[in-house]
Amino acid sequence: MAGIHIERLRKSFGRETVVDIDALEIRDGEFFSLLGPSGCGKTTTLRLVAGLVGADAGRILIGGRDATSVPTAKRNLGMVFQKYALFSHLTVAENVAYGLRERRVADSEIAKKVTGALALVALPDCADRYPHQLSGGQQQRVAMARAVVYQPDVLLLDEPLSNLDVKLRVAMRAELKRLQQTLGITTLFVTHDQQEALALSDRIGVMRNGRMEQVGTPQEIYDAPASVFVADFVGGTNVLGGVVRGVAGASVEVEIDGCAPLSAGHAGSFAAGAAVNVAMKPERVRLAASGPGRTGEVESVAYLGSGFSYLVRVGSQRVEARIPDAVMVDGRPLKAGDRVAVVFDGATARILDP
Amino acid sequence: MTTRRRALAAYLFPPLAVAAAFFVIPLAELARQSFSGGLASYARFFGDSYYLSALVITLGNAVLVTMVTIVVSYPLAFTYWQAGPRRRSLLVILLLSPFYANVVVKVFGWMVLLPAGLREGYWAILLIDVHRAMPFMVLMLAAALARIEPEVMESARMCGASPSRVIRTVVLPLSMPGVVGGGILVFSLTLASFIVPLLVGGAVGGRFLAVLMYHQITIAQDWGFGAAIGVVLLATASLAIAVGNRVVRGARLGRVMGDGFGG
Repeated sequence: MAGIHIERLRKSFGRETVVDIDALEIRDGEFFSLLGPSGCGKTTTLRLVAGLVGADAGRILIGGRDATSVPTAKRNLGMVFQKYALFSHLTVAENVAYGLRERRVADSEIAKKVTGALALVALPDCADRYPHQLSGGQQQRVAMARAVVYQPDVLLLDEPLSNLDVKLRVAMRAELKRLQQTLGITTLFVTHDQQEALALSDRIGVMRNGRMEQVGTPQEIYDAPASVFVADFVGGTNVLGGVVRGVAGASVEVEIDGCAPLSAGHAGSFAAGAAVNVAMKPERVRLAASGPGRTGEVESVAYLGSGFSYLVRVGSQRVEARIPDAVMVDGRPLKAGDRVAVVFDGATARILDP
Repeated sequence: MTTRRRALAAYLFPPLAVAAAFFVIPLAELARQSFSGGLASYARFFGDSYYLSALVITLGNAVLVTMVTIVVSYPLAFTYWQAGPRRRSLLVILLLSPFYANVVVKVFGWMVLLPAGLREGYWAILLIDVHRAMPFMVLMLAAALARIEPEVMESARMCGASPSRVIRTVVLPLSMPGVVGGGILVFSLTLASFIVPLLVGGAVGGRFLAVLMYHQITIAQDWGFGAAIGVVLLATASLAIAVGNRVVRGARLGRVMGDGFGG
């Protein structure tokens, strides 16, 4: 078991810098996700840790040892690929045994460990089958067993769930978390699916253009995005333009066109009159269908199962509000065309640089 | 459905007609002529150790050429597979260049190049047969290697395999469809080889079945016996390929052979 320490890591392909990370610390036993859109450098970062691509500059320490120039085979890491990448000419048991064979483990020991690993991924009866005889989910379990059976220092996961259908993906997500917690293994997980990252991770690093945009717990990332990019990427956040009216200690009073002024927490320094962005989760927006200040107009209503989503136009901007129960007006549900007042929750709103 | 079938039949008719006219009918004619004296031609062939040893020489040469071709082609196919796009196009030109010359031209080319002592005899046959077969083998191997996903090799590296172990435990077994497919191709090509033993074979060249058949028909004018040799050659080739296929399929290769050759 070991943590990962990355410093001033750089990698370019041609003239394009794909990874440029100043510092990143992944703790021993932590489940850490690299989250970002395609092309943000998250997979290349994982491959740098794996040693499958070489770094242009910087250092990677695994368990305190400098691994930057250690060949992949000697890094003692486990990896699960998006496309499973099982050995199609070997049985399930032989696939799982592969890493143990390369480590010259005794046959009796191999048999014991393979049985244990297959039981761990809940595939005890498939040992003698070939990969093509298994379903996608089963193949993924074999890939996981193969990656953890030799007790690697770190487990690397490259979008391992993205090839599965939605239902299976959610089930496998829980399995993955259980497996990681059972083994207590440091895990670096690459995904573009924010739900997956939020559900699984101890901490998340959101990446953009090769850089770490923000590192934090799922709650920090979700509730307190450090930038418009993070707010936008990590889940349907409203980002509204506003103007700073005044600053009082740790809170800023902001006026958003068409809404009541609100004071919100911030990370940074703002001057009165400055244009800023306000990030606000849809589930933190309330709508008042009666009373004063009804400056918004409902554009559409959508039923999501878990509640209702209202798109409301205020001034020149659009706000989404998610509310568990239908908002009533004059004894009927709110519908498109109705006028409402939009009320923000200042405590959970975030002021961001534009 | 019937219109589709009719359209398919219409498309298939010309090639099938050509195949029937120029392949099946002559083959049937050959078989018919071999039985013109009853089983006499076959009795003569299998009753004479001279002809039986010729069969062994022809088969043995085909097997040896196939094995040598696999061994010398594999590194080339591997290099091609690992090369970048620019080197690849250069390699493919070099690789296909033997196709630009007719086999007769190739044989004369080798006669010019080879020192006097090697210009005639078995080694010349082996050398030229391998040279002729290599492009086929490399193409088959390269196609099989191209189907190996890079992630599979990376998985092996992650599991602790050194580069040479990755080749031995992953690349080689996964490229078996190319080895078998190329092997069958080269084996058949070499078994029927006629010009090479005729031109550079010297005394041993006369012991190749294709050459014997040629002599029976052109010099001895014994069409029946010539045809019988042809049928034996064809039957042997089919049998050898079937047996080879069975052996490879029996090997534990999982899916690999299932969607490759001989599946």
